[in-house]
Amino acid sequence: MDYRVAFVVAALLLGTTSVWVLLASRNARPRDKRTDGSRQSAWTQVDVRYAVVALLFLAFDMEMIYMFPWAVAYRQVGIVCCDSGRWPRVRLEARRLRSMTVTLANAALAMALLVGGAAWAAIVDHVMRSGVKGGSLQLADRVRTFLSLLFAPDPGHQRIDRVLFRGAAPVAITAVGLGAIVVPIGDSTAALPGPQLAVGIFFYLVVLDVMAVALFMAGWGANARPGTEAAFLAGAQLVSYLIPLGFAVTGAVMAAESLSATTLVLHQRVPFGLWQPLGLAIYLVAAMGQTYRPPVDLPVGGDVDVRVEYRGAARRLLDGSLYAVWFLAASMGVLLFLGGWRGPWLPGQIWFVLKTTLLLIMMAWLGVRFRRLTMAQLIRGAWLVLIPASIFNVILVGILMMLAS
Amino acid sequence: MNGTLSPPVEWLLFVVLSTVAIGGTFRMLRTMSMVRSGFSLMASFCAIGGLFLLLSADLLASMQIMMYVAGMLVMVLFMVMVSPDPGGSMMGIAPPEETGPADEYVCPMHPDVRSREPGQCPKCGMALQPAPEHHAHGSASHVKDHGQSAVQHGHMSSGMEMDMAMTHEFTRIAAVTGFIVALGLLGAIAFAPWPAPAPIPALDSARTIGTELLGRYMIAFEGAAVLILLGMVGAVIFARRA
Repeated sequence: MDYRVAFVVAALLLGTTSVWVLLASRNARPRDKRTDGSRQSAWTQVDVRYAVVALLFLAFDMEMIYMFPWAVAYRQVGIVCCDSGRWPRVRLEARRLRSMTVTLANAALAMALLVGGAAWAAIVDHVMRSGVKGGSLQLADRVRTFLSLLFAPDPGHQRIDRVLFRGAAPVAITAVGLGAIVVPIGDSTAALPGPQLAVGIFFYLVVLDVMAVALFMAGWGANARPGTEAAFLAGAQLVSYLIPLGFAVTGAVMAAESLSATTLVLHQRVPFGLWQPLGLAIYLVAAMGQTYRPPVDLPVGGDVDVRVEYRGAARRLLDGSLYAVWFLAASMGVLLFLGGWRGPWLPGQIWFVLKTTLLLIMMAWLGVRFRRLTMAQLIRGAWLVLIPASIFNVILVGILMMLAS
Repeated sequence: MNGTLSPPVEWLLFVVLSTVAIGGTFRMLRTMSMVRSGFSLMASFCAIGGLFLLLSADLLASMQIMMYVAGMLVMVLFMVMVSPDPGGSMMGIAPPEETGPADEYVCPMHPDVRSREPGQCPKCGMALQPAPEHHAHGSASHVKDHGQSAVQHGHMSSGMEMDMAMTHEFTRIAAVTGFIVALGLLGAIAFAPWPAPAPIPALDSARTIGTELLGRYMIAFEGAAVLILLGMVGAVIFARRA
């Protein structure tokens, strides 16, 4: 395994974004201690069951840790462990490349996916919103506003928690950039160390966890009521949607016997989404919850928003990281369920972009079509519908695999 | 180690990660803000995950980071929900109180235990505190305010002073114990017969662990599953009652 990629990407992103945020937000006068009581009204409204759901989430989180090794070994050992090697194992040993050039190439690919993916996701989002709602495109205007705001100073206010407030954007960008190192976009990139990482998919889920932490840091660090409420909502999304996401992914992992993104794709002569449509559907909904897309965008939508106190560079970085994590989720969906870059006639990269765009459009359409869910609705929906359905999906996949033998 | 990094880089990463790991815990102890201390601890655990990565334990590293990121975030949420002062402003502003000799001392846990002299509670062994009515006559009025704000938050309904310094007799015992244990561990590190460097482990650690879990360690695996299930059932029962 080559972890140099991860360290290179982390160092680059964390360094540059921190410097950027610090430079661009020189106007703010930070203060360590918080003294205003406006926050308190936020936590008194939280239902006591929130705590229980959070505890349940931790239990399921632990369960998932056992789940993935089991899913990888399922085909080999079956339901009860007896004769291993009953199944002819597909041997897919792509070339392992180990050199500094390869590390840098992987890091560069991750950066390109981060920046290009965020831009592409933003464009798709904008086109879908304005197209469906009948507005005009005005892409040029949007780009100009974006650029002009990029270096706008942060007005700040006196009560922010400096460390958390400044740290949120670098943490978010670094998390998404690290997630992007495991994404292969074609045959030529499939042999890179990141896509071959033996824990690739798990790594991606960890990254989504960290994204929630970044949003919590942003909301809490702002030390204002809307931000704090939104921070709680970000926590609610995490405890609701990560579990169905993990279980939906488990189906694909069982079929491919691997957590590596490249191996997953190479196993999909028939895309997993065709015989695991339930898994794909759950993945899409849960991924929207974990990447804060409408209609499940409570922490970043409307008046209650973790970014409400942010201006300038930090705001743009948070916006960009949200688009980037959305793109990352869509591309992971393609790798897990739609056969990745594989497809007839066209080159792999084109197929990858087409499929990813398809998923982005589907998710964006859901956002335009449905009204924003409340916190109670989203927790209820996740725990009463998505999680049981995703566990059912795991059992279903297991039975199908048994029958296919 | 995993052999793909050159030794100087490996050492550099090791030093950086262990500095973050130790610095994070130190920061956690130093800050008054519960949210900050939670995030510091999270950073510390993530750095330990990075150390696992240096040892080629990629699955373990991912688990470590995932569990502690999610766990610490939930812990922070809980602290914010139940604490009257999650941001640490009250504890940060009020200095530790210098109290003169009081007339009467009382146990913080057992209000009926009263004594003319400072000492320990015969029931629980905690250090006796100056009784509140005498304290209120003292010069430091802001301490009284502090006590009242605690009463408002419903945590100190009996109207006693909180032991903000958090120092009592046990800390000394704890410090000595910690020191002895640390010495023992250092001695163990220094004198243990370390095995020769193992060969680089199998590349797909998830498969290895999965096969082992369903084979040799089946009992432990199922035991953990039952325990987690019990936790879930317990939480749901608690929720229904609430």
